[in-house]
Amino acid sequence: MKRSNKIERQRQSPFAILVLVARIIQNLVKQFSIIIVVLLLGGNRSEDRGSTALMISFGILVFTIARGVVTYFRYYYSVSDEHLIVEKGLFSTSKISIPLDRIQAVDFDQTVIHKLVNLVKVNITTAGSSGSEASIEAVTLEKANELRDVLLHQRKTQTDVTPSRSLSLDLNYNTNSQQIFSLNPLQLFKVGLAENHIKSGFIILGFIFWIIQQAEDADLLDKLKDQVPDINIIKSSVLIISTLIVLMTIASVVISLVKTIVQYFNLKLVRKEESFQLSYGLINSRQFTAKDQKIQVIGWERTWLQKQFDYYTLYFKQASSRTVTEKKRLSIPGCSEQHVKSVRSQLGYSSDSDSTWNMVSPTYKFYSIRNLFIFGVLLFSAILLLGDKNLLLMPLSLYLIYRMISVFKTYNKITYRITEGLIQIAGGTFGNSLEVLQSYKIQAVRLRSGLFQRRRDLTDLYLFTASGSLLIPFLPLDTAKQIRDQLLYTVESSTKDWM
Amino acid sequence: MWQNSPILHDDLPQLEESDYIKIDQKYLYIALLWRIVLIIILGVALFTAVDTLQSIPEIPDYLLPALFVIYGVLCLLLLIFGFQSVKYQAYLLRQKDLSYQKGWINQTDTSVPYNRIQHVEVTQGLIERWLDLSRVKVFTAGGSSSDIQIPGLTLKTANGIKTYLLSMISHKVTHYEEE
Repeated sequence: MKRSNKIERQRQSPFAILVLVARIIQNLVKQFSIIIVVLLLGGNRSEDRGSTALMISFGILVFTIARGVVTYFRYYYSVSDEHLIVEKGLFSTSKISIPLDRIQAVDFDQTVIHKLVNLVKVNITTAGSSGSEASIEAVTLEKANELRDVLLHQRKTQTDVTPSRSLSLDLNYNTNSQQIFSLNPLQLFKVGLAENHIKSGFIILGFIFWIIQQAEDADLLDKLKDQVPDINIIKSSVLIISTLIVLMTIASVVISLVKTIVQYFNLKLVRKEESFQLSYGLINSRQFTAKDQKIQVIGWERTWLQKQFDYYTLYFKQASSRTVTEKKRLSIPGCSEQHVKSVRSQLGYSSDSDSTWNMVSPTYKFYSIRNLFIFGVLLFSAILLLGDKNLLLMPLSLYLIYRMISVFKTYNKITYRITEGLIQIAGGTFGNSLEVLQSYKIQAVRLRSGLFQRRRDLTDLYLFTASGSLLIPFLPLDTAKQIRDQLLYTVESSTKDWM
Repeated sequence: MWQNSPILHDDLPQLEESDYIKIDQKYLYIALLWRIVLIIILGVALFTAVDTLQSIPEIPDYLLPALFVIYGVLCLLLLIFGFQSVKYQAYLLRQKDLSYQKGWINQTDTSVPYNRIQHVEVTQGLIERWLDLSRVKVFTAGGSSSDIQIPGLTLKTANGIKTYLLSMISHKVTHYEEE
């Protein structure tokens, strides 16, 4: 393997100053939004105040630009001796040195400002010690690509040398890469419709509360009350409330639809050498690279709604020093079953073996129902004691029934399958999910049992990977021990690098 | 059931309960100490509460004794848990992995293969130093939830474990370099 693994010590592109200033201003606006609102509302009365505000903002602007310039001139990055070295600091210099084999992923981001000046931001994710993540604010796409190839030890091939003229992050596949999947506008629309609208509903609620709070801070509500004397009548009107609910539902759907389209616009998944590359975004473009070796877990899932539209959300989990949350994993929405299969086989994760799917112990149902029962009894007796009978009884019983159905649905869907090199765990309640990992990528194994489980010789089995843990609940103790011994043997006898 | 392994399970090395080594029972003092501190704090809080409650005439008669009974039960439970927890903490070093058990009601048993250990630490708090105890911390890439902390080891044992683990890890590294 040929590695040209040296990059000269250099600054970012000079346009980085623009990006830096824009970001600092953005942060300032976020932090002082209330003050700005107050200034804008109250400033018009006297000209004195207006000019003071102007002076202050001018001062802040000068300071920000100065800070951006200094940050730019103090920032260097280089690659040498198998280390990425980043030097930065406003007043004191800090030097971060990251060994290349600790680097898990190199991702590109492009905000609107980046697009104006044809630059990209490079995010570098590492495994292990937290706080050693690095990012380079703004470099040309060419340099970013070069950096990524060096950081991820990707071989330079002949076709790569001719740089593509395109300056966007849109993936252009050539001879050594192959497009696996792309979202066309219709599919994107479907993905947007099947989003979780409850989330957007909460965003709207949050937004409304935020406006009310801001208005209260600026004493706007009192002013409003003076102008609209009938505000109390409006509040109590049933008609208006129901209209509001309908409007909110529509708004939620529209918001999640627009959000999805903006986020995942022009999504493409490309196979290049031994890695997957993913790009998407309308306003802010992003491009991710996931090397096969660095992928710890792959999974796919669909909610009930997504099942109706017949597509899966595929995701890769990579090792990260931050805990892997929903946000951190690399999601590819809108995949068909065929795409999932193709990705699996590319990764070598497909299992042809005809071993059966195993279910967990039925005691799982019994245990969950028992807990629900205890919870229900406690809750109902509390309600009866408090004497507030009619209002809460209905929704609570409905909730308990819903939970009961969930338990049975969930139990039927938890199945697992352990073959020579692969572990597969299926789950889901009203939808479906499946996670697959290679046995040798396991970091630790844990058996955990409560009193109830031990009395019945059952235990939970946790498998820890570098990107979160997987759980198989309620296994017979013998089976769990057998699986543990088998997995420990696989990991201990493996000489393959897990990252 | 699950039987699709390349090696018959009987041939696989098995973790045996009986091989586990219990931690030093002196650790009981530390396990009890913070619980006793908690009990004292709760007690002080209870007495101040009772003091103010007694001045209110409307409170029912059974409230004060009930509070004391709850407090007593709580203290008893805390102490029992303290005594029991030390009994169940045990570890096992094998040729290729480290296992650690703990818990009385909820029992966990975590195993970490040596070739997945990131680094090892020995630490000793103030009270631990008085009792000549220390703890070994084993860090993995699986995040803080899969890291192992074995308390209640004499400093000599802890350092021995650390040296052993480090030798096992570096053995792995040289092994890779040869390839």
